[in-house]
Amino acid sequence: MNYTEYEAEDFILDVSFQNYCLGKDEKDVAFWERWIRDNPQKHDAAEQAKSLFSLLNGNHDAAQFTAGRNAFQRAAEQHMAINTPQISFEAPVHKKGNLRKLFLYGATAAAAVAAIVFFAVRPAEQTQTGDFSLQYNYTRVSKAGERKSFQLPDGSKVMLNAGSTINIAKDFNTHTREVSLLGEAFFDVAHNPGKPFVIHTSSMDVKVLGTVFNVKAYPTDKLTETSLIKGSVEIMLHNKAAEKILLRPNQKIILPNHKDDNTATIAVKNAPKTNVEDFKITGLTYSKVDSTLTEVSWTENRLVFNESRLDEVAAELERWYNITIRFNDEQVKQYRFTAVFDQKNIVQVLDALQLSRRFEYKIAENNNIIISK
Amino acid sequence: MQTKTCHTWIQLQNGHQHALLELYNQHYVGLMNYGIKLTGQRELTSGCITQILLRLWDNRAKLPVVENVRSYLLTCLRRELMAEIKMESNRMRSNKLFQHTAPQEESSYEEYLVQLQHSKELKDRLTKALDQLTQREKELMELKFFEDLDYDEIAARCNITKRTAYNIIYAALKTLKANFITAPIPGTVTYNPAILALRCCMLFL
Repeated sequence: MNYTEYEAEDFILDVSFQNYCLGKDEKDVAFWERWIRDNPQKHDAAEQAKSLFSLLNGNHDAAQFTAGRNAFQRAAEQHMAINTPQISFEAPVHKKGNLRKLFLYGATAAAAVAAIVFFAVRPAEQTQTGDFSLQYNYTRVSKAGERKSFQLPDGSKVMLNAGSTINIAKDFNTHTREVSLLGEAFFDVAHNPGKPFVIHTSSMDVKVLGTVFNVKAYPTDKLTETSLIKGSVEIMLHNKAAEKILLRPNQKIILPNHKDDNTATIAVKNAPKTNVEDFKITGLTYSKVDSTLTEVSWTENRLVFNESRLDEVAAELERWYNITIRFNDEQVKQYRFTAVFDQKNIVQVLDALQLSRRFEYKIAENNNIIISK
Repeated sequence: MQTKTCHTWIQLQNGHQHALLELYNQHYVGLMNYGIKLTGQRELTSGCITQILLRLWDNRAKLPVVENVRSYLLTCLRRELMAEIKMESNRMRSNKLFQHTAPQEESSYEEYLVQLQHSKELKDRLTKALDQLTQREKELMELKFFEDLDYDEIAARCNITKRTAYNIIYAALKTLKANFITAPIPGTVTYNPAILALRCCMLFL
């Protein structure tokens, strides 16, 4: 094709040139970049065509289009990782993924199962080690505002969220694989039915044969929850040792840590009733904003709130940013927020929340934040 | 485009994962412009497009045979946007701060393009340039670039031949270029019949 006779209007109507303008097709982009470089006399006409094309299509250009498509790829990747478990694990910092590559590997990973488990340990004296009769010889700790990824001796991978501690049993990987957790962690458990993997927390144990999941057991939280994405896990509640609960994919179990605390029941509205009164089973939460799964958003460095009460939000922010937040008002704690934050600082987060529902905050010394009405 | 996107649809039904990204590529501009025009909200539209596509993926085994993928997607998007806006307005009732972002009055294609320009100078220049186009030309430009239709679809929609559609759009582009981008340079031949003929031939290949 002899493009040297082309004027702006001819370029605009060329499909391959349109693909180049929007960054839709790598081959077209490479071709036109090279062609324009090789034909400098046509540079101006091509530029005119590009700007006219963008003008007419409602200001869509390559920068804008590719940014949107990358975001879509990311959302799709995460979405499919959940359905065909292939969760990228290497970096706690967000990694730009490749959807196509994921597609290739996704199918082969079908044997793997994914589960997420959230725990919140009740702030009783038993929370430290009293409940865990096992001997531990290996401990990993992440401070507030810090995250760690590492591998266990059996090949299972762990990503530890901020302010968490994990203890690995002394005889880990001999007959069983047992760990205890305070805080939150995301597990990619190597498949080995012969050596069951058990996570102990103060209020429940989770037994898995081979799965990907996430455990949250912060002593300060009000709820204990286990969320399962794929596969199955067996839950043993400490106060009902005889009863084993099997979770189905896309379900989570929520256990209030204080019976007199009615916030737990509020948090699980719409949850189907179960026969045991003090726990509820409900579905997992997808972000309204981008359809990603709220329960694992922290592994992608994203802070997500879905109809969360401000005191819950504050607890999350304290760990995330290594700050303390105090309330001068009881009512403001009840405000609910839905939001997604991608790599924002604490001031940006609070300012954005303020726009949604008015409250005041001030930053005192020592990273102390005081929230009032 | 129609046959291509129907093919992509079938691939999606059969669980080919690349088909999802392909659908995004094929329909992004049309869906975005439709949503933005409907709601005035770019971010919301983009979020809803992601949601409907991911839902299609989840339901791929149950998807109907669709003759017009584009209209199917537009309908999905409209429903999704309406549901979101309803939820948003429920939320807004408790919050007067956001009331000014309520959906705006719908503007015409030309008005919308002018609104998108940043400076007053550009706005004026574009208004004048668009005034030089006939109603028919503006209509076809909108179908071609804003709705991102192909010539088959435009021809069917306007009850004209593909060649006529192409000629009208080509002439409109030349007029717009002359009035908006380039100051006319005396003596240059911007109209090249050979190329026009060539492009028309290509159209029917």
